[in-house]
Amino acid sequence: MSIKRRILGPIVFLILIGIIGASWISLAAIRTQNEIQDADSATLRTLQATERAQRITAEIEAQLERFLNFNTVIPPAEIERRHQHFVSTFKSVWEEVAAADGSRRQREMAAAILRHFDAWDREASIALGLIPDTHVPSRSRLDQLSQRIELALVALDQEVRLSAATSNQNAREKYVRHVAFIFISMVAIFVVSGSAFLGFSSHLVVSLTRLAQAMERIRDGDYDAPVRDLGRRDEVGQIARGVAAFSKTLRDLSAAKSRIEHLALHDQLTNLPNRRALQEHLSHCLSERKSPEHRAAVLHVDLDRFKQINDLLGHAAGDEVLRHVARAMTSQITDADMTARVGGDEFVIVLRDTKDESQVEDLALRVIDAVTQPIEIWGEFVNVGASIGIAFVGDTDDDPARILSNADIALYVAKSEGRGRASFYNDATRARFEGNMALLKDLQTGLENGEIIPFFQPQVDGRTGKVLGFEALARWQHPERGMLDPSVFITLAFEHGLGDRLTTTIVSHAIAALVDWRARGLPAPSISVNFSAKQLRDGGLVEFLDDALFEAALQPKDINIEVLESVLFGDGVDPALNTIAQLQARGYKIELDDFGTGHASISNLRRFKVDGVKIDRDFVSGVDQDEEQEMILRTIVDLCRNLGIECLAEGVETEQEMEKLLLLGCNNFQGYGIARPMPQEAVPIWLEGRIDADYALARG
Amino acid sequence: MLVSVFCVVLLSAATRHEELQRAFARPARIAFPEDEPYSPQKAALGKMLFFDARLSGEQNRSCATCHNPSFGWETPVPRALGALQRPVARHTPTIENLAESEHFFWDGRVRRLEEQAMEPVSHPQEMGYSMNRVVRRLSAIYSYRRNFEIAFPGEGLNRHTILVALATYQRTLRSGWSPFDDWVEGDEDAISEPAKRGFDVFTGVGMCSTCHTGWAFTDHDFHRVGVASKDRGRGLIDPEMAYRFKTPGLRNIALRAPYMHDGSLTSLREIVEHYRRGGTPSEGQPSDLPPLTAITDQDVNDLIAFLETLTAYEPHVSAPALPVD
Repeated sequence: MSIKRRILGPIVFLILIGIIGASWISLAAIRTQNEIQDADSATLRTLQATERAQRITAEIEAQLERFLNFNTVIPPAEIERRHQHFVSTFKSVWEEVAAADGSRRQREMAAAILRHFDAWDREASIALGLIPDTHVPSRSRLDQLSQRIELALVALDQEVRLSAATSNQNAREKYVRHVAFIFISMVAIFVVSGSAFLGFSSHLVVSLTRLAQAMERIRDGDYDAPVRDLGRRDEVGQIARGVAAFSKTLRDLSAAKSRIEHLALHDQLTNLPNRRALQEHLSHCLSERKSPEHRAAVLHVDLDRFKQINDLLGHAAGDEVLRHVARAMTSQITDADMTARVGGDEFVIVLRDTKDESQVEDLALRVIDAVTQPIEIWGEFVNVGASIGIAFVGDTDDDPARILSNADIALYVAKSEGRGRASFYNDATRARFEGNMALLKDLQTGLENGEIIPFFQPQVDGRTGKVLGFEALARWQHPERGMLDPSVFITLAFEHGLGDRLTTTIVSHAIAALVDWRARGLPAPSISVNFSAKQLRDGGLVEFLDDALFEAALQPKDINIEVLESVLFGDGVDPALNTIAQLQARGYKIELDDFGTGHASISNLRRFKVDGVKIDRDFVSGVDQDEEQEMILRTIVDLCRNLGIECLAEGVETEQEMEKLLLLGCNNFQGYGIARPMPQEAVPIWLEGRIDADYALARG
Repeated sequence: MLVSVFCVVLLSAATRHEELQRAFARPARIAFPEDEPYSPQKAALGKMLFFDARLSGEQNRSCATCHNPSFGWETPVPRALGALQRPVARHTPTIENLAESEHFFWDGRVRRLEEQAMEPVSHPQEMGYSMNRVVRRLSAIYSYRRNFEIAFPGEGLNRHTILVALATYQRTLRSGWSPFDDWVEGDEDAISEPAKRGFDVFTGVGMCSTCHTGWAFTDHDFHRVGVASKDRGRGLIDPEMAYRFKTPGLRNIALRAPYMHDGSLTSLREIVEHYRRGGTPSEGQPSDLPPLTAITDQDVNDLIAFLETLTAYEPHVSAPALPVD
């Protein structure tokens, strides 16, 4: 049964009982009142009749008294008439009394009075001479008889009053008994149903309390709190089921919430904390900063060559690498420390408690070592490097962003120092970083102002002295620092996204110079321009070159594309190789720069059939004085000749070197021995001088 | 034991009371002679005649002149004055409760009430008239004639009907209800304790009830009670009964002083003292009564208290309207 019914039912029942009881009492009261009124009116009639009888009796006696005073002689007929008048009046009155309702005793008394009256009447009739008799009743006898009537009448009167009073009393007592019975019954019913209701209420309260406790526990997060009364069919059961459902929903929501929080604070790929989590953690670490001996350290880890792997092997492989790296890094730190992934290939390790720099450095090196371990992906082994910038949480650096920035600077330094290193942040690194930043700013300004221009270094055939072409080399005419070498700014430009712009500037200047020289009728067969592997990987290089050449009405053969030999590292999926193939198909010539210093795969060299290689100056300088070097050089040259690839020696400075190279079969030279890089305007002069020299040489 | 004693006492008391009731209960009815039946008209006519002074020669004395109802139908003097303005021979006797009596006058010389009335009317010392003249005188009055015609239809006013009317009226005269009657009826509070003791004396050591017996306290007989007098009483009719006089009833006795046939005793105490000493012994007039030596002064007082309870509650008798034309 539902609680509503169990609450409303007894209340309605009790109200009904109350109404019935009240009605019953009212009815009993009305009935009692009616009984009393009926009895009263009957009594009143009897009393009135009795009173009249008394009056008549008094009058009839008075008349008898008058007759028996014997003061006048009254004829018998007259006496009889007058006497009989009263007698018949009394009898008629008495019939009323006898007819009236009354108790048995009352009726007996009325009958007795009638007998008395008849007796008196008989005696009086004798005394009045109406009935002849020799024995005449004495006055005292008559008085006695009449007194008997009077007394009986009074007695009857009293009896009637008494019985009326008694019946009134009885009716009232009956009423009181009625009311008492009803009252006791009602009290009993109220007590019984009240205690039943109390029992039910306490049961309900217990259930509700239990539910409330369960809800309290659920509110406190204990979703496993048992909810009872689930099977009940009443409202408590409904609430219990609702609470259980809420509990389940809350549990789900809570799980979802913690998942969302986890997602919000974790990197999905590696399941490492993300940047936001890192910041919170860092803030936390800062707030609980300990003694100066135990400082927290932040290691900013940046993967080297990850981009390449990503590009070469795809994102899935990259993801696998990242997971591997994450595992590797996590394995090196304690539980109190944290590794977070803050970017594509950037991680931050927070060490909460460090002793000194050497300990941190050891750890950093261990991390690098762990990360650098070869990773097997789909049967192939790849490896990535890592550079780490380390910053300590200093006494003054309360800002997590600042500390991260410091680590970033240290990382920058580590990278610029040649990757695979760990570098600490300190004032020197900061100064260097800031210097670089200033230079970068100047570089941007310089690019806009045309301070960056190409210098051209000629490439000649050592046998004939014929000019083969020019390599465009970027030079920065710094307004304050004078002419700057590319080594100062090229890396900076490429690291900060200025590489394309720089290349564009160089390319457009180079094309313009070539057009200019050809217009002057100078022998300028081609220009070599350096491109980074990244530029090759980015699409659009072919179109850019085509457009630039088309505008200048030049052919692809007029431009040589120089790339570092490391571009050939990796396999055939590298888009850079695809770009190289396209360029070759278009007719551009591809040359490998700094050949011999990198990791060029000879199989790739063969497969792509670059048009030429430029042998690095390290193999060239002093080749005439070192036999081992000569042998290496000979091997390289032989390799190129065997593969049908032209080779050019860079950094050629002396006549001896030129003779040796010629002897080894490498005929093309570039270097100070031929000419230093020179501005565009200097090229025609150099060419004219060269013609004169050739002329002199030919003549000499 | 105590209980049984108590019951016996109660029973004996109740028995005594019933005896008393039987001895002193008033009769319910008055017996009338069959030849002169009762009628209220006769009684009313008799009352008129009783109160009518025209029955005397000088028309100055009626029967009621001496038989005054206020004094128990007696005269409050030893001997009333008669028609000759001289005291008559004896004290006026009461006329109450005479219906059962067989003798009238102190000496009982008349046997019927119808005859008795003639004597005072025609006695020269009393009313000084005659029946014939009474008949004539009354016949002259129309109302009397008419009333007689009502009371005696077809007979009318004559000497006989006058006497019958008077006798009828006198038979109806009964002393009124007294406290003693109430006591007899069972109301113990009706009379005082001394009166009750007096009753015991009356019926006990006083031996009064020997002669004053029955409800009317008379044996209707003749006795010598030791009153010194020359009157020979009953002896005038019967020599053997010399000095004997009729026992008067004692109802309303307190109203009827003085007492005895000559009115010689003026109070109840005198009477009681008289009987205590056994009457006044004198030559030729011996008393039938022995002296009552056992009676104390207290008994005397109690006896008087008892006698006073015999006085009726309402002795008053209204006077009739006499016919005048």
